Amino acid sequence: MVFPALAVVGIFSLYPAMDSFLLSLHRIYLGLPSLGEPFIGLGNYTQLFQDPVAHQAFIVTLGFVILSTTFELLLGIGIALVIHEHFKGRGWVRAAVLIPWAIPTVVASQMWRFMLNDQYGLVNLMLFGDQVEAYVPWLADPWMAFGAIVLADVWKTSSFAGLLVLAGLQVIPDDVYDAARIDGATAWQRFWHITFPLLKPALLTALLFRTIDAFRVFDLVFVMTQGGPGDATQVIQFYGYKTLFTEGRVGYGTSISVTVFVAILILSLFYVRTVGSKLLEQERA
Amino acid sequence: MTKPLPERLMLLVGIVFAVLGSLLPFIWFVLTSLKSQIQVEAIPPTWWPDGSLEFYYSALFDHELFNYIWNSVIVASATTIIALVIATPAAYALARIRLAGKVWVLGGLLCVAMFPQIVIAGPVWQILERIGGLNTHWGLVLPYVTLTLPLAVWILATFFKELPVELEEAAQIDGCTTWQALYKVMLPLAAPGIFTAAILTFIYAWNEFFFALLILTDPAKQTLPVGIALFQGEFTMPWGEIAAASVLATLPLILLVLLFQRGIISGLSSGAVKG
Amino acid sequence: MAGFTLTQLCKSFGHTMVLNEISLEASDGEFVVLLGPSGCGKSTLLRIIAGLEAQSSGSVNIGNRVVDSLPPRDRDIAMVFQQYALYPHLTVRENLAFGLKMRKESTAVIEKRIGDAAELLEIHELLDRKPKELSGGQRQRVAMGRAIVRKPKLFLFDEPLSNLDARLRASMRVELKKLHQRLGVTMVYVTHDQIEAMTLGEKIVVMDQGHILQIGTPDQIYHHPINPFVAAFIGNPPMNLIEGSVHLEGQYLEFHAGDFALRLETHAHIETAIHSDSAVLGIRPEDIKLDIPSEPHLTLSGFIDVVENLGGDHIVYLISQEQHLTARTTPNSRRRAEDPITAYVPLQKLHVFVNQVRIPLELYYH
Repeated sequence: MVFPALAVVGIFSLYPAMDSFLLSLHRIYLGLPSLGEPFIGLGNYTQLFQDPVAHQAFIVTLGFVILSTTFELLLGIGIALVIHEHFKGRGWVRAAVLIPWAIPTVVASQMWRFMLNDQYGLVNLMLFGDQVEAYVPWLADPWMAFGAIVLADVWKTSSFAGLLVLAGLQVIPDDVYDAARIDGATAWQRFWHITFPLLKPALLTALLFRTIDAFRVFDLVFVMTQGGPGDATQVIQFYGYKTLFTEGRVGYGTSISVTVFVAILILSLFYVRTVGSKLLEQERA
Repeated sequence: MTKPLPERLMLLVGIVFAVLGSLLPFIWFVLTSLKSQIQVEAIPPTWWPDGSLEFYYSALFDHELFNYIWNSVIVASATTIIALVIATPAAYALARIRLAGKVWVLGGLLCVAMFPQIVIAGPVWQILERIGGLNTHWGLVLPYVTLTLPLAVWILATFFKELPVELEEAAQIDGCTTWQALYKVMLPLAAPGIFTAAILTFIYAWNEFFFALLILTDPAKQTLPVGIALFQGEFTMPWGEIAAASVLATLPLILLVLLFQRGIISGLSSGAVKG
Repeated sequence: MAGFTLTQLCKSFGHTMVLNEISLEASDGEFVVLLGPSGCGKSTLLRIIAGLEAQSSGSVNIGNRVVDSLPPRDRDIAMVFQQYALYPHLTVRENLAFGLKMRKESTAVIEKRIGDAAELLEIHELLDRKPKELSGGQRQRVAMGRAIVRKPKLFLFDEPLSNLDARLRASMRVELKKLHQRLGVTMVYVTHDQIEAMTLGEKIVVMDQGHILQIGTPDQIYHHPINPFVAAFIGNPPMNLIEGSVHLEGQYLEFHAGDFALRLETHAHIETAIHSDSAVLGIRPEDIKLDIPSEPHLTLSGFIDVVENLGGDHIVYLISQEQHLTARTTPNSRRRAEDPITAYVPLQKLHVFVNQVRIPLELYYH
């Protein structure tokens, strides 16, 4: 019964991943078939380690991952605490919070591009009102543009992080809080001494899910900045896309993607080891 | 018991922030989509639209949005159906049967779900080129099914695990074959889980951009996200049309969220709670 | 209807033996109780009879038919599960009808059977409800109803009362007994509750660690337990067990446990002497009398540790010659802790086990 699923995953995920690895050991230019496809061993990787654009892309990606996951986790905890409470209309609030997650990333990107537009954007309107001369072209500045894709990602996925944290909150039994109340703990003490420690596994899960996903950021950059201005927002998956599909440097492009993959794989293994081993214990129990 | 005033105030502030923060950018787009061309180009921008539907008309008819919508409907529906038909039996087997490598299969599926698209993009493109899948909807559905399977299997396996084995045994004693027990007893009970997995798969396929961009180069075949990302005007960015198209692309998703908020939340967090 | 026979059933999961050479026979209409602590293999045995689990070796025969290769649905059995296992998406009526529909019975037959079962179990007004709208006791009845409508050769019960509260459990016990009397069908009932075993069983099978320890009527099990484990498992409060050494020779039986000494003269003559340091002397709490009985007896003097008042009975915990003993007696409000006390045990009520095996004392003593 598992076989069809494994077959599909094998053909369209595992095989391509391995094939990518093989391709990355060759020099292949799509536009120049006359050069053949010579095997060059780790040549692409040596080139990659000396490529300043690739370095820049890695640094931008890393900065993006760290900043966005940090904010998403913090906001996620806040969202989770709010939607975990009992109040009238909670279902509506939960639905409202879910909307950014449900919106297509492409739409969210266009939305934030428009929000941050130098002439028609809501952000300028709210910050400066009628003082049109003070309006800032946010996406034209390297640092601001970088901040903008972080902002858009945080807006889009904080609620997902929030849901993972909410799942953690829901398994904390109520009587622990009652006991803490009787012991005289304030709301803050209850959060810091009870909720937070008990939430750690859920936070770890959310952290890893978000980290891994943030590594793959593409849609936001494609729509909002096209990697610019300069290379300020050129994240690694976008750089890989460009080398691979725009420039047709298949060998070099795949070596970039394999490097991303290895980085993510290490993170995934870490995830499976920490969280997956708990699942294993459950199976045995 | 009512909570002390400061706590209730904090909660209220939290609710307002969460709701406003989540909705404001989208509301701005909705407002924009209802403006007229003159209003959109006003500097400073105006808040309230005069309720013109001209952008909707222009997006749908001048920019052939119907076409994109229809393509998205086909691709997302086909992905959902195929992914669930494959994922359901797999999830059932993983939840029920004692398999030696079960944890590795589940862990491996999770890893696959984490693959950066770019890693498999090149070879997938080559495979599709070889079998004539480029610029076809089924050529896009194939990788979509692969990419949504892990999540669907996880959600369904979690769901199946919570259904008592006793029910299946009772059905067998009552005269069912293994298949009948699955189909007459387990499947109706798993319906909410299957439904949740279906919604999440649908949303994924509806929203996916990277592969759609790669595989569909013919505008007549492209899906909504590609259409919206590549929206171009003759001279300036047609923000009004983009907003209208975005609102139309998002509307079905908002509807799904409003109707099935509970299922979506439990489905998204199912892997996390178990872990 | 039919009896069943189990022949040398073995079951192992990997290297763990959970059932070891289980052989058992039940005649038509018998109420068989499988009794033992959790993990003793009784549920596995029941599931093998049902066909939900395959034995590693051995054979199951139901109604003179070997069913080893048959799936559960072809064994003509019905089972009541611990958690009831009612189909949550079906109404009570549909739950009852499910097994009959699977067997393609006609609508008329189904209606008739459901009507009969509903009447028998008094669940008429529940028929159109869903399981989640029922109380625990009602679910229990429906689960039984689902078994009854099938008119199987064999009823299997897997701890069906363990999820009910004490009062409901007692009344359902009586109903089950009535049901068995009316239907007269063979039933196998798994429980760890010795009261259920005593009250329901016609044949009790005591199991531990995958072995059958003893098979017998409730009276046989209670009055002639085959080893200290069975002796301790049946009866509440449990039997007093004193570990010590025994010497049996000629007409003498001597038992020692620290300061505690017992010396009996038997009527029979023992040819070969028995000496063992692994002996157990057992006394049921109700066999410790506080009034001098007329028959030959053993006298124990000591003092009262605690008295528990159960209303109809008193449980007196006493200490005699450094042994802690429990006695069940008629109430007497004058007893206080620390009071000296003299107790008597009729000699024919003593149980002696040597090397974990019962010595039939009654053979020796008359």
